[in-house]
Amino acid sequence: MNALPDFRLHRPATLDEAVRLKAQIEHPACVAGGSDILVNLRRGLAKPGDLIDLSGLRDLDAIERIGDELWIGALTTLARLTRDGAVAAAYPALAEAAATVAGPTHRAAATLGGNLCQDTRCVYYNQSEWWRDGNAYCLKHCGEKCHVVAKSDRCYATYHGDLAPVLMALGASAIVARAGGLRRLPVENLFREDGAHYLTLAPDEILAAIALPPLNGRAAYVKGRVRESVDFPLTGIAAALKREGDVIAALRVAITGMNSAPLMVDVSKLIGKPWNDETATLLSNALRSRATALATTLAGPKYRRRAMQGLARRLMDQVWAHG
Amino acid sequence: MNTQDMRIPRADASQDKSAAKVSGKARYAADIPANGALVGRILRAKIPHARIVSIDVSQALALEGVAAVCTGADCPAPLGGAATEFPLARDKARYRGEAVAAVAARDEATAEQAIRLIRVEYEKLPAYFDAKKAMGEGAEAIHADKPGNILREAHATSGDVEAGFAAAELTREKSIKFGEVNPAQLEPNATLVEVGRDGGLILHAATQAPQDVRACVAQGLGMDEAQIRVENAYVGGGFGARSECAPFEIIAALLARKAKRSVRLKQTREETFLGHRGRPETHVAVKLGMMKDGRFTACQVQTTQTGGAYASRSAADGAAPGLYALHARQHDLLRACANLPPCGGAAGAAESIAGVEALINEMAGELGLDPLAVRALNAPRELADCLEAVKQASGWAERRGQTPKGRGLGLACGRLTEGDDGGVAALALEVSVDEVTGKATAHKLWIAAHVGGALDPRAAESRIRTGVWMGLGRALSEETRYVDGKMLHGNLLDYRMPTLVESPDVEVVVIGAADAAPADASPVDPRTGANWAAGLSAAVMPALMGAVHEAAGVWPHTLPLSPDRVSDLLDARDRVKK
Repeated sequence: MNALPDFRLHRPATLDEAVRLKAQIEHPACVAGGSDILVNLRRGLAKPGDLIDLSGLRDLDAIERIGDELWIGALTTLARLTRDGAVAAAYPALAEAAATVAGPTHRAAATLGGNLCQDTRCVYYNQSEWWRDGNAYCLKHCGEKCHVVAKSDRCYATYHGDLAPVLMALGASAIVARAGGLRRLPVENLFREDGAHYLTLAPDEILAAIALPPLNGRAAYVKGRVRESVDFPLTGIAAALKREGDVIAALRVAITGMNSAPLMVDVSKLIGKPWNDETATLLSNALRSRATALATTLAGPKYRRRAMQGLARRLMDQVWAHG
Repeated sequence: MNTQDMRIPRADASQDKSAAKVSGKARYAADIPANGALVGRILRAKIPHARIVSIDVSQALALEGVAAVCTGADCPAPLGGAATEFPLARDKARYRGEAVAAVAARDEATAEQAIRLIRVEYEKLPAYFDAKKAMGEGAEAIHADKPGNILREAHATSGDVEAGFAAAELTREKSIKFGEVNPAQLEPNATLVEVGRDGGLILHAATQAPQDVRACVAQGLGMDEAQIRVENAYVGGGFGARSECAPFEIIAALLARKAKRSVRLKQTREETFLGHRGRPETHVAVKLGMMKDGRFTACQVQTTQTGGAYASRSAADGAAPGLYALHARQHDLLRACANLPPCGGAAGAAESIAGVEALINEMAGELGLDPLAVRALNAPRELADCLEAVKQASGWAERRGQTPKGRGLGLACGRLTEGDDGGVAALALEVSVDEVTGKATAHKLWIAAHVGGALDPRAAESRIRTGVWMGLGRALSEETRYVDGKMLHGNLLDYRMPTLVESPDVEVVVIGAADAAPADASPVDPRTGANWAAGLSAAVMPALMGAVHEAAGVWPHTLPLSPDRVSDLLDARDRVKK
């Protein structure tokens, strides 16, 4: 294992102090569970002069009901998400999605905020310094050229988080702390479809919590991967459906593992119709036009597109039957 | 390494070792305390094939905190007397990742900086990553003494093959590609070398062959073996990577001697993957002649391996012993040398058997015969016993053809080791195929093995179980991937070994084990140091192929059967249907 680069470690005790630090320091990096960033730092994928350790911010690991919303602090571990009573009762899809992330030891350390903000991935990026040096680096880090899309002017590294699509389907909001208070935005607006600059957070902002509205209907997440543990999603689909009799009254669908950001899929054409072969084709078309799988993973893009289509259909069959 | 060396009592010790390993008390080579040891680091070639014009280490040597720098010039002796491989590359670098120079420095940052200060001038040469191109006309010779880039060639014929095929009522051919697999031992490579007051060296090595390490280090450094002591701490897996001295053991010793201080050389996961010595990519073309009742008349196997730039010294002889009482057999082996990390010595015997077994299943299907009955008809006594045991254990007669939609039962036989003298095994495997994801899942495996020797039946059972799980890795998901010789799989996420979730229930029947095992009984083959995984994988892979056929109606031809490959087969099937 390579040594970590040298950095100044900051351990703020409060969210205010953390925000102040993040605003003062140029190009800081944040660490909570460390399961994503420490691996990348050891591979030389970033050399931050300062690392802000958020794990001491006690007020960020609460799960509490505020009004009709459930607020989940960004420092909540994935292990806790899988077994928390309030989460399991109201949003079982979120607990199930958390249980599919990596392995048990990762989930014990990894946090909700870290999972959402995890770096995008690519076979030409998640390699050692020696490897990337021998490959003229890449557009995401230190290089001029994208090895996935030749002559591209942006990075196509893929977002592989499991929780973002579920939260997006559930209509959750991100609560972001910054100097002067909190701001609130839909979870999908945390992301930007650019592999190198995939987060919209400003330099002085820290993701503090997720606020979940009441679920009116049924939600589920499905993850395509080679091994049933450890692996990132090669494709992932989340759906939240409100079924009224024999029609789709409301539907939100989000995907991960395909593009540089988790994306909402436009399913407006399905609303007011029953779930059948016709609407399945409409969903399939909507997914196809939204997803851009590229050769960023060892399993090829053709496979990821095929699995996305098939798994989305299976997922909808399931939520429709139980809706 | 002789047989005597391998016969170290280990049956009694294994219990204690397991307890230390699972409780975290075991100390591996990287865990041994060594205050003040220098940090060793290796400079590796970034291009796959090049002549080394010059190496300038002056800037690295001038850096404060650097104690020693070594290059190929420090070690003119080839690794273990092999003709072509040196611990540090001398005239040429032959694969991306080959060690070219090494430094010992006071800390990791200094060592890293020193590595960057070494200037190597290369003259690039054409590089080859598959057997066909490497052996193509006019290809640059990777080794001067191996024109045509043929690393090894073996031919064996018995009986009248031509007459056998002429007598056959059904003759079929099939080509199968088996992906390259890495040993992927969990413990990364590490060595600690201490320098004694008398100038002698003490190596704490992660090795299964301490005698070979001592001999090779002595040879590499021109020292007397008596001056070198090798302590092997706990070993976190070997699987072919640690059955002989590796280049880095000698590199660590060279650095320590030059610096006159202890050196710890720890490698990254990526470097550990680069060490390789696993099984190379293997193409097998099989031709089998059969009578309508299932009797074999002739068998022809042509095996082509895309070997690495080098290979293990403990190479198997290349003969692929058949499993059945069949006289008319021909086997031709060709191993090409390519600009890829060094592979192991295995000569493709397991893959050859797997190819034949796969074709037996297809032909039995074509003739409407039970694949188990076909094998029993041709099997010698010990294998017939295994088949009968598997038939009983799995309820073969009742289950075959009765599995629900999307599920299938497959069968195949194999040898425990790749040589002629090991035991034999038969196994049945129940598998489901998910039409949406293309994922094949192994649910249950029954195996009967004739171990044919004085072995502790419990140790034998444990070896069979682990061997089967390793075979499932090769069958389902494990493979190496390169782009222009650049290793893409050098981590435990992209090199997909099955996890416990993917490991099915395995029911083992051990036949022919002695009740009382002698103290030095070891389930490791004393001749090659290999365990039974390679041999068993020969049975697991075709059994999976057969089960996938029963579940989904497709005959695979490329392994591992990862979801993307199965999806392609399903799509091709559906296109034909339409």
